[in-house]
Amino acid sequence: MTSTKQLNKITLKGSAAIVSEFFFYGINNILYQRGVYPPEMFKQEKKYGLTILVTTDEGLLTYLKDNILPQLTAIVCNLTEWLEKGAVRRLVVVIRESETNETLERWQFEIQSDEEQKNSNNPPKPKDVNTINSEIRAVIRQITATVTFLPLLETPCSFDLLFYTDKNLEAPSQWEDSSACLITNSEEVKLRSFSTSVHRVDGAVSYKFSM
Amino acid sequence: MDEDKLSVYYTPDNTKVMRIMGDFTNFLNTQRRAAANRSSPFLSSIPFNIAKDETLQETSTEVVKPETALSNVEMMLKIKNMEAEFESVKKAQVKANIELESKVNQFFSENCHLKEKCDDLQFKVKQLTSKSLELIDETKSAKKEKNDEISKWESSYSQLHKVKQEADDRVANDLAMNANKNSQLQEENMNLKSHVNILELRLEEMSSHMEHFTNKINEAQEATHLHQQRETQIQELKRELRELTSRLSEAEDAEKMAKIFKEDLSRLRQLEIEYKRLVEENHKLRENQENAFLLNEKLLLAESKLDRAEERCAKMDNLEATNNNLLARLKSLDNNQSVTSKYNELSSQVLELRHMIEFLEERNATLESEHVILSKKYMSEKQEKTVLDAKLAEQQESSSSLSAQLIRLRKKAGLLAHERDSIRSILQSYDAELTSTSHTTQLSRRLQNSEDANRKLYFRIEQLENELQKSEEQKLFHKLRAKQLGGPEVYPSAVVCPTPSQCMKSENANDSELETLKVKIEEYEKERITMHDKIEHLETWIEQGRIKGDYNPENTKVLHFAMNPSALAHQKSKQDVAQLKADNTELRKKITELQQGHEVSISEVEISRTAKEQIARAELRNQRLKEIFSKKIQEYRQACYSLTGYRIDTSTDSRFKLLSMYAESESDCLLFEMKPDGTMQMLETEFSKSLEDLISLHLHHQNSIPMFLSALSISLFSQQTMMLE
Repeated sequence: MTSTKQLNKITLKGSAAIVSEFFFYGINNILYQRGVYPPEMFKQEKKYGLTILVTTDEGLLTYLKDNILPQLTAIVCNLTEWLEKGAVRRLVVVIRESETNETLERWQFEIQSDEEQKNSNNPPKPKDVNTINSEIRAVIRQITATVTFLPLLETPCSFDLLFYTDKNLEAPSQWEDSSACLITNSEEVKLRSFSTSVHRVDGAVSYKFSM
Repeated sequence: MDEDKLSVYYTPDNTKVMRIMGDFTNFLNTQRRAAANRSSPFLSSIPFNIAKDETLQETSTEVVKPETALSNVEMMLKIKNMEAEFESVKKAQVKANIELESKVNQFFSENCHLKEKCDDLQFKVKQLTSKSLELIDETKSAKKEKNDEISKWESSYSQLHKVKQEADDRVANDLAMNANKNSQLQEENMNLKSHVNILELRLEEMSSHMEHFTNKINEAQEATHLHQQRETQIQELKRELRELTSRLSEAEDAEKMAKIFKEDLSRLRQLEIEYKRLVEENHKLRENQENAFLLNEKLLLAESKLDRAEERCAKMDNLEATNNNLLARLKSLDNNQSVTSKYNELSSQVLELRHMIEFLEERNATLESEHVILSKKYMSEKQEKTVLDAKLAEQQESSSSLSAQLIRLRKKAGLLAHERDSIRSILQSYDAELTSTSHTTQLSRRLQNSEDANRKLYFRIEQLENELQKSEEQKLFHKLRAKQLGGPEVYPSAVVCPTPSQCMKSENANDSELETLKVKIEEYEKERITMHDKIEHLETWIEQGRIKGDYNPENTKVLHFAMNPSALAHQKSKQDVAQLKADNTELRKKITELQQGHEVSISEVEISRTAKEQIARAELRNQRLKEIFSKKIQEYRQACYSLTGYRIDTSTDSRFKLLSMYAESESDCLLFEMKPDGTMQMLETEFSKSLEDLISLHLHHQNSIPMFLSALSISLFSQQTMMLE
């Protein structure tokens, strides 16, 4: 029993690392594709068998790597604990107009843990890293492809990352409550999803629809 | 003159002058002591003497020293005067000489200038002559051209004249022709007038026609109006048609739906028909059962009668036996003939017995007949029983089908309950997840309604189940009854089973309830379908809301990093906007102040004024510098020209054109090019081709351009002077 638990824990951590890495590249891809930051602020990097553009801006990198991703991995790692409480977690990339702070796009990624399946006697199906990577690749490709139908961001924009967490979660001091940044008149498109053997990430994008 | 002299003699050595000055004062003192009363001319001549002394210091110093007699002095004075005169004459001569030299120089320079001018003029004259020659040629050619033109014109004039004559002739002919034509035309005119009259008549006719046509046109216009109206109507109709087609498509959809519903309905009808059939069968069975009961009763009665008849038959046998015994006794008695009285008694007894026997025989006959009837009845009842058994089997089958239906219904009820539970859970979860309040109230109402409906449905199902149990019990009872009928024929006891009439009643009630229940089940089924649709709709709605980002604030919260890029960007933009607004207000104030015209701060005015002044100064400086530069350049060029004898022009970048002062013409120029390293290179011109000797000597051998230039100017100068001479 203990050995299996340990095994699960290891896979959980590994899965969390995969998920957070996906978010790093996914967020970078969104920022580049949607033109939130100028193209000269990005450099090419090979990942998942794709060439993904990653920011070179120090401030942005520290924000993502020091503040967001560790927190994300922590949250993802703690998912099991929170799932017992019945909490649902999401990560939302909100693209806002800098001047008015109006939300123009929401990239929502719902993180579901497959713990329930695992706790029931069926052991989790071991999933090959290559298949996971191919799934992630499909998601990132789809994000890139969405540029064709999403409306052009004509005004200067910036982004924010929202976490849907358990209400009882004690957040670090630098974190604060936020609104959900909902878009009133929005169109929604569901994106592909991928799953490690432990986590499942469902993507969706909703954007301001104006005739 | 004096100064010139002094300068001539002063310049070699100043110390010597000082010594002479000392001698000169000594001499003056001695002179004053010696001849204090001498006239002023002497004194006036002293300066000259001094000057002379200064010039002739070596000789005079020795002569002046000793003091001699007056004559000597006078002589000396005379000599000195003479010398002075001589000196003055000499000086005048020198002066004149110098003046003459300067004049000569002047003349020479003038001569040079004149020569230059002369050269220029000669050059100009040459040019002019060449030009005049060209002009003369041109004029000659022009004259020739003009003459040619004149001759052409003359020839053309003559031709024209001829043409004119011809034309005149033609005109005369034409005039004659025209006169003829005129007369003809007059005739034609007359004819035409008559035609015109006819045409006028026709015109009137036509006007009447026209009126007719105008009327027609009006009618046509009205018709067109009508047509347009109709077209508009048609367009409206088309629109309506489109709407109708759209409606038709909707209707088609509805039809499809209706078809599905119809299919459901047809199934329902089939079920109803089946149900009716079953009910009828049930009725028939009940009737049969009643008949069976009646027949059974009759059978029982007949059987009892038969038993009694059989008993009597048995008794009859006994009686016959006794009769036989008695007859035997009677015979014995007859044989004996002992007792006649007994015989009589016995005979009476026999008679009685005979009566009895007759009676019994009669009864036996009746009983036998009854037995036959009953046996017939029994046979018929047996047949009926077999029929009834068959019917019972059918009923059993129907009851089994009913029980199957019941099971199905139970399953449906279970499903409904399950669905109700799931709906409730979904709605609860939706309620929990829903953030906006406007929908929750509606949804909660719907949920309550559906829950009530579900509860009712549940009760009804329970009732149905009870009914079903009852009907099953009854069915069992009927089975038993059938078995009883099929088994040994026993009288049905009143305790075991209710009377057939009661059974009938209860079954009737069951049927009615079953029907109502069925109807209700159908209703609930429909409701279930609608509820299912609603649930699907709500599920999709919830899914959409989830994609939009809805969450349950009761158990979820949204966090974000405080120093996120968006917040920073927003803050920055706010600051920028605030800054811009501040700038804007300030600038607006300034603009208003400027528009008002007086409240401009002094510092600003000063700044603007100083700036303007600086600009003006800078411009002025630039202007002056330009002027000075141009002046200096001109001066420099002039200096170069007059000093080196070459005019240097820069035609293009790093190319210099040199024209000598003594050049014969403007075209006799040299071209030099400056290389990037600063060295000069001579380029070939028409003029340079004629200077091969100089080039080979000075440029190729000596490798010196200045030498070449000076040699060239020397040669040119010599040529010029030779020409002048």
